[in-house]
Amino acid sequence: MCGIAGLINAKLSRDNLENALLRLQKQLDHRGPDDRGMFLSRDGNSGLINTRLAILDVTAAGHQPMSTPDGRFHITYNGEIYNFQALRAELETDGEKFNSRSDTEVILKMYARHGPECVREFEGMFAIAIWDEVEQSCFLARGPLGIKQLYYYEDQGRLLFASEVRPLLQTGLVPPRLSREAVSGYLLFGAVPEPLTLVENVVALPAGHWLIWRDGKSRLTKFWDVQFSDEPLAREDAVEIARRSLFDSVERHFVSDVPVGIFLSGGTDSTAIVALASQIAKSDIRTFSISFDDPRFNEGDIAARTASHFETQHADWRLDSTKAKGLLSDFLARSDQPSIDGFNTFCVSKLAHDHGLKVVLSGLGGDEVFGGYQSFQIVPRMVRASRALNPLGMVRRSAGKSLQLRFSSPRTNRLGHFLTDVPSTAAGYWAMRGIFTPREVERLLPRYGSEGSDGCASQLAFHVPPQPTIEDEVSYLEMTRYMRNQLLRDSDVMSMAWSLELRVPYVDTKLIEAIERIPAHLRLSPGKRLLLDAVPEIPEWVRGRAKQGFAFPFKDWITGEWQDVFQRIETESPVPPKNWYRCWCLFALDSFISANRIDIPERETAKALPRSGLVSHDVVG
Amino acid sequence: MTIHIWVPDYESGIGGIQTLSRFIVRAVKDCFPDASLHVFAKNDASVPNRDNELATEVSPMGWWSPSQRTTAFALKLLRCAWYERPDLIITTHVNFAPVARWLQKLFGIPFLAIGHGVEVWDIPSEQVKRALRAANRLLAVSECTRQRMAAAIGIRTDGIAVLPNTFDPEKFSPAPKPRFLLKRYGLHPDQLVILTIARLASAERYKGYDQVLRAFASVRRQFPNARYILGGRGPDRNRVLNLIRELDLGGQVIMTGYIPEYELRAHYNLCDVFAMPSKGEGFGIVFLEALACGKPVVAGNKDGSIDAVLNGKLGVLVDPDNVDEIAKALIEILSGRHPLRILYQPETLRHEVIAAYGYEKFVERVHEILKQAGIGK
Repeated sequence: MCGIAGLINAKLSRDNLENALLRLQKQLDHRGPDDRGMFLSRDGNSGLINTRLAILDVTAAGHQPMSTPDGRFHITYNGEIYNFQALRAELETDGEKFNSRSDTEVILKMYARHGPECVREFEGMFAIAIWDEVEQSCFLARGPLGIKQLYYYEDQGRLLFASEVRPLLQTGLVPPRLSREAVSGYLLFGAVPEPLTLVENVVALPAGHWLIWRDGKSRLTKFWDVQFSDEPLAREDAVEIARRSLFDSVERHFVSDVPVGIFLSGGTDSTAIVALASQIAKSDIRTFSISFDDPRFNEGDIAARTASHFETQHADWRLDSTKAKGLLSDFLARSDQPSIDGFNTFCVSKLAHDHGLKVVLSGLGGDEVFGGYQSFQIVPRMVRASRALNPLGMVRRSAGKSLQLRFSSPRTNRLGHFLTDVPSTAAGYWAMRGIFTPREVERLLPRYGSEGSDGCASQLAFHVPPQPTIEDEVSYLEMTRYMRNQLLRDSDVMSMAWSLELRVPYVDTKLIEAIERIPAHLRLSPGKRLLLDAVPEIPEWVRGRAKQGFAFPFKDWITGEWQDVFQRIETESPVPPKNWYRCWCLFALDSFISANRIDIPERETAKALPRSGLVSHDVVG
Repeated sequence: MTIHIWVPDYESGIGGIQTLSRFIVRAVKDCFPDASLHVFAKNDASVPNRDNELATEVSPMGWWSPSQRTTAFALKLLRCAWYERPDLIITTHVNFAPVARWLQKLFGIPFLAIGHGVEVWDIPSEQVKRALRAANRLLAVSECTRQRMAAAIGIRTDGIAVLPNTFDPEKFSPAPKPRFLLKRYGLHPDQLVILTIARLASAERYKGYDQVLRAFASVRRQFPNARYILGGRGPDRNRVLNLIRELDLGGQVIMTGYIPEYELRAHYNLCDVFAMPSKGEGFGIVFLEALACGKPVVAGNKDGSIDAVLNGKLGVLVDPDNVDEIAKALIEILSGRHPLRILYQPETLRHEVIAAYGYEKFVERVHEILKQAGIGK
C-alpha cells in the first residue's frame, strides 16, 4: 500500500540526509501516488520517508510518517492490518484517542503501549519501521509470510532500509557490488533466495522477524514460522476448517475504503475466491482476466463464463505478442530484483490500474497451501527412494553421475545431481524446481566475478525446521522458497509498479495457522481435493482442469518475435540454456546488472555481458 | 585442533540432550576459537541452520532408515576419526562409547562421555560399561545422574564429574502476560495459569503431567477460574484427553500442541507457576528457562530436577507420586502464601539461576574439564 524507507544514524549533514531521503522517496514514487511525507529526528541524524497509496482512511489524517502526540514514536509502514478495528476498540477501552481512521495509527499506538510483541496480534501483511526518539532506537518488522518486502543495509553504525533494493543503491551509500552467493542461489532456483539480495551486504529482513537497532547494533528476533501438526483430524473437520478459514480470510481481505477487484483465471484458486466473495460483498464484484490468441494458453473464455455465473463486472484484456513486447521493456525497468516470473502479474496489474482500481485480490498461494504442484507428490517419492538406496550409496551416486553426464535434459541433470547428494527434502525440492545444476552454475559464475565462494553447497543445503512428514517439508519449502522468493516478491513489485495493492487471501497468517492443523494426507490430497470440497460453489467447468496458472505463451513469443535477443544469450552463454526459462533467467540477471550499474568484482573482461537491446541503460535516475 | 562431538540429536526437536550438545559446541568454540569442530548427529535428517552454526561441519545421519542407522553411524564415526584424527572425542551418546574405546586403543584419541538422564541410569550392555570405564573423563549433568550412572557402570561416584546444563538468558526473560496468547486461549489477564511443557509420550509419562492433572482437580476447587495449560505433543495425547474427560476438567485444561521455539518465552510468561513433577529428568532445563522468566516452579524430588532448583532453594520440590503434595504446593504458591519467599521475587529468581547456570559458568566448567583431560596444553 506504500513505499517506505529510512536512514538511521546517518552521520551526514542535515542537507545530505534530506537529499538521501528525497532520493529514496523518488525511487519509491510508483508505490505511492497519493501522498508523500518525510520525518527527521530531533537531532537531524535520522529520518523516515513514505510514499502513500491510500486505501484505509484516504484523508490527510492518514498521512505518513505518523507520530504519537507526545512526539516520541514515528512510523512509516507498508501493508494492511485487517483486524485494526478490533485492536482500535481495545485501545480505546484503554483510554487511547484517535485522530484518524487509519490502521497506521493503530499500529503506532499498539507499539507505543505494548512494544515489539504487538506484532503478534496483527492479522495482515506488513513492513513496519518505527523510530523511538527517547530510546534512539529503530524497530523494523516484517509480517509472518513475507508478503511485503523490506531490505536493509548496515555499515559503520548506520542503518539504511527501504521497500525495494534499487532505492538503496540510489542513495550512493551502498557500494553496488554483486553478491556471488546470491547469484548462485538465483541461478540454482530462478529467484534470489532470501535473505540474500544480488547486492552484497544488502539483506532482506526475514519474514516473521523483527529487528531492533540501537547504538549502531541490531538484533533480530523471530516471532513466527510455518509449523505443521500431525494430530489426527477427521476429514469432515478438515473440510470445515478449510472452508471457515477461507471464508474468514476473503472477508478480511475486503476491508477497504476503496473498491476491491479480483484477478480471475480459469483456475480453482481465483474461482474459489470469487465464489466466496460473492457471498460477502455488498456491491458488485469486479473481476479481471487476461486472454490470448493462442488457444493453448487462453483461459479467458473460462474466466468469462465463471464471471457471468457469479454475476461479476468482468473485464478481459486480449494480449498479443506485439502488445506484450511493448510492455516488456517497461516490465524490466520496473523489476527490482530479477526473477523468471512476474510478467504475468505486471500485465494483469496494468489492466486493473487502467480500470481505476487500487486494490485487487489474487489466488496466489492456493497451490502452496493445498498442494497444487506436482512437487508435492514427486519430491517425497524421490526423497524416500533415495534414502532407501542409502546402503547402496556408491550405486546411487554413480547413477547420479551418469544422469548428469549422459543426458542433456536439465530436469534429468538435476535429478542426477540429487542422487549424488544427501537425500534431504531441500535437495529433492531443488531437483524439481531448480534451473541450473551446481556444475552449470560453476561454469556461469566467472561471468559474474571471480572472487569468493560459489555458494552452491550452502544454497542447496537449505535448513527446514522439523516437520511431521516429508510432504510437510515440501509444503514448507514451497511456501518459504518458491512462493516467498518468487511469487510474492514479484507480485509486490509488479503490482506496486502500477500503484496497485495486491492482496492474497491464501497467504494469510490466520488461514495458514488453521490449515497447519490439518495433517498432510488430507491437506495435500491430490488435485487440491480439500479446496474443492471446502468450496462446493466452484463450478464444474473449472474443476478437474489441469493446472494452468497464469501461463503466458512465453515460449512462442521468445522463439518468435524476440528471437534475436535470446539468440545472443544462447550463443554467448558458457552453458547452453536449452529452454526458454533458463534463457530468460540469464537475460533478467544481465538486465539487472546493467540497469543498476552493478560492479562485478574482477570480472573476466573477455566475457562481457551482451547488451540486450531491450532495456534502456539510462533507466535509472 | 580438531574435536569430534557425537550426539543423538542436534537440531531436530527440543530436548535436554540437544541443548547440551549445542552449548558444548559453543563453549568448546569459545575456549578454542581456532579449533575445528565436527558434529555427528545420529537422528537428524536435516542439515543445520547455517545462520547460527558454530560447528565447522555437521554430519546428520537421520536419512538412514532406523534399522541401518546404528551401523551407518558407527561406520561414519570410525571412518571420519580415521581420516581426521581428532584430538578429542566428546560423546553425549553413551551407547557409542565402545566405538570411542576402539579409537582410543587404536589411535590414542582421548574421549569424554556425558551421561544425561535415563539412558545412563541402567546400562545393560557389558561392552558399553567396559568402554565407559576406560573413558578419559566421565561427566553427568546432575548429581542424581552422577550417582545412578556410577552405580550402573560399577565405579565410584567420584569417578564422574558434574557438568550441569545451561541456557540462554537472553531468550528467556520476564515480561507481562502476552496479549496474543491471552487471546488465543481465551484467557483473562487475572486468571491463574499452571503450565507444563513436555513431550506427550507414554515412555515419558514420567514428566508428571498426569499427576498435575489430578492435582489440578483440587486446585480448581480453590481457584475456580484457574487454568492448566499443557504444552507439547506426542502419542500419549489421546490418553491424556480421556483422562481430562474422566476427571471432568474439560474447558479448564488447554492442550496447546507443539510449542515452537519462538513461542516458548511467551508461554512461560503466560503462567503463574510452572509445574513438572517428573521422575526421569536428567536435569530439567525447562526449569532454568522458567526461572529465568521469573516464574515459580514445582519440580520432582527424585531426579535431576533437584539440581535445577538448587535443592529447593529456587523452586519447590515435591514427591512426584504424591498428588496431594503437588496440589498443596500449587495452591500455596498461587495464593501467595508459600513459605519460600523467593518464589515471589522474579528478578531475584532470574539473577540466581543465571549465577548458578548461566553460560559464563558453563564455559568455565567446560574449560576446566578440557584442561584436566589434557586438551589445549
